[in-house]
Amino acid sequence: MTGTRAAGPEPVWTPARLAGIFMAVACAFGLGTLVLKFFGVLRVFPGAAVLAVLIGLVVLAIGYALIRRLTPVRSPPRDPSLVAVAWGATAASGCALVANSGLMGIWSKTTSLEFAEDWRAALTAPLNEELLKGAGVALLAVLAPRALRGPMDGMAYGALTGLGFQMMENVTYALNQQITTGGAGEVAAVVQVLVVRVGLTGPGSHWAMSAVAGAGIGYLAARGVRGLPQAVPLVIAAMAMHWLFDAPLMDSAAGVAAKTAINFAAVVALYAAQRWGFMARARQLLHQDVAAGRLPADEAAAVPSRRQRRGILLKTPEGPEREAMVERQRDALERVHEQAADACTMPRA
Amino acid sequence: MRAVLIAAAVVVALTAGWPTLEALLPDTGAAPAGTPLRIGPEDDDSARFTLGPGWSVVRAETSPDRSWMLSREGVVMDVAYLTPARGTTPAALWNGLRDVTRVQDPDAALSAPAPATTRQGVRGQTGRLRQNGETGTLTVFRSPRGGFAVLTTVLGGVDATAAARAAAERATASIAFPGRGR
Repeated sequence: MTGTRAAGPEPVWTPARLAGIFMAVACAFGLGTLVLKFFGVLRVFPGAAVLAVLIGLVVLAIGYALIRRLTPVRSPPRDPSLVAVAWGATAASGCALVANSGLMGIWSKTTSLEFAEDWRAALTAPLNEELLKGAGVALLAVLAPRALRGPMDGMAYGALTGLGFQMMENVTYALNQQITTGGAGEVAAVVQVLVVRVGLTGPGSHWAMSAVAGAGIGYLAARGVRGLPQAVPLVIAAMAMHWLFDAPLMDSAAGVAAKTAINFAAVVALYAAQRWGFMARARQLLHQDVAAGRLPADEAAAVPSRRQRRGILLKTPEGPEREAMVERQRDALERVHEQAADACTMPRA
Repeated sequence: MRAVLIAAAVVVALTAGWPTLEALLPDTGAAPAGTPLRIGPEDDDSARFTLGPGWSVVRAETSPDRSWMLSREGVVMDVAYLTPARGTTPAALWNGLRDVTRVQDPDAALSAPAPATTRQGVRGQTGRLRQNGETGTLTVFRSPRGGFAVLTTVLGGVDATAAARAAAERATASIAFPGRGR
């Protein structure tokens, strides 16, 4: 995923352009698949559909803001963030609908009905869905290489991809619930599904799994194939988290809450470790900037914090001095993001 | 470029590969005759029904927790587990089911309900259904405590035999709620 720019005119079919085209086609295919699959339910139960989408969008907006705000130093740029959400909500969701149906059918046809009933979800969704969501993060790393440079970025875009997927899955479950409740009580059926899937399982669901897999993709973005020793275990860990969620174990409400807590704890632990590494490397780089005279010490101290950056700017009188400070902050942020992206690769002293 | 090709290959392989492989496998197997079959997720929250000989089970569309898809001599019978909200009246449930039949076919028509009774004595509702150019019946029985319901949808075209339709009626009448249930 890392590469060098060749001299001379840029070829027409660049990897970024191909990635963009494939992503656009896959998103259109996924959205079309979803609409075709649920068109009948949308037509007959429009109230439930509108309610499910509205609640989904509110949850999505909150999750989107939280994930971007929790990314250290600066939020991921808006455009790639929206592409990640769109991939999860359309391409990954629609393709997963087709792929899951196929693999679940295989389990149903080749094992006993009882075994398939219990295990087919756990033997299908972790493989298909984590790979489909992860493929989007990998493509995004090619499409927007400056935005996705390491595991911390990968976590953010993975979480956003998973969030989009989760939102769409919640909507489709709410629509399916219209059928399984016998079509009576549209609103109650939607609320019932969303309370469980947002309130109970939401904190440990797709956003968390994809954040872990996304960190793995981030290692590949930073190191190429040398990132495989980190990437493979992280993608497998995401699948394991998903398997735990879908396995017919601990099926009581307390058990489901425990599964959610385990997944949430796993992603928080990974986030804390990545954030610690990223911030340590960022401070080291800023210290070097101060030593080299590129940045005053008080400005360097403010760079890692959004609030402190804003504070020190506001204390500076408007005019050329503030503009120069804005420029220095922008350069420092770019340097930090570029060189601290792979936090485990510390610079030589 | 390699990353794009690998990621695209993963997406295409999963999306096209599994359905293709699944389509190559045989879809039906003989359904067990004379053995009570479970419909519903847990013993206490499930019902039983019994099939006569000659039925096939469409395995890819069957999961005993939620739905059995069965076929015999031009007749397709779907035995499904429903969870209507508590307090849903029989009339509201019937109207809801009428909406559900229109999900697959906007021109589907379900008649007004008539009383139905299982051999166990559980009372329910039944009506004539026309959907996707086929005709048949739709029958629903609530569990004794009302926490769930079992729905049978029987449809067949011109090739459906009277014997198969009668067998579907017998299977519907065999629905029993053995557990204390919800």
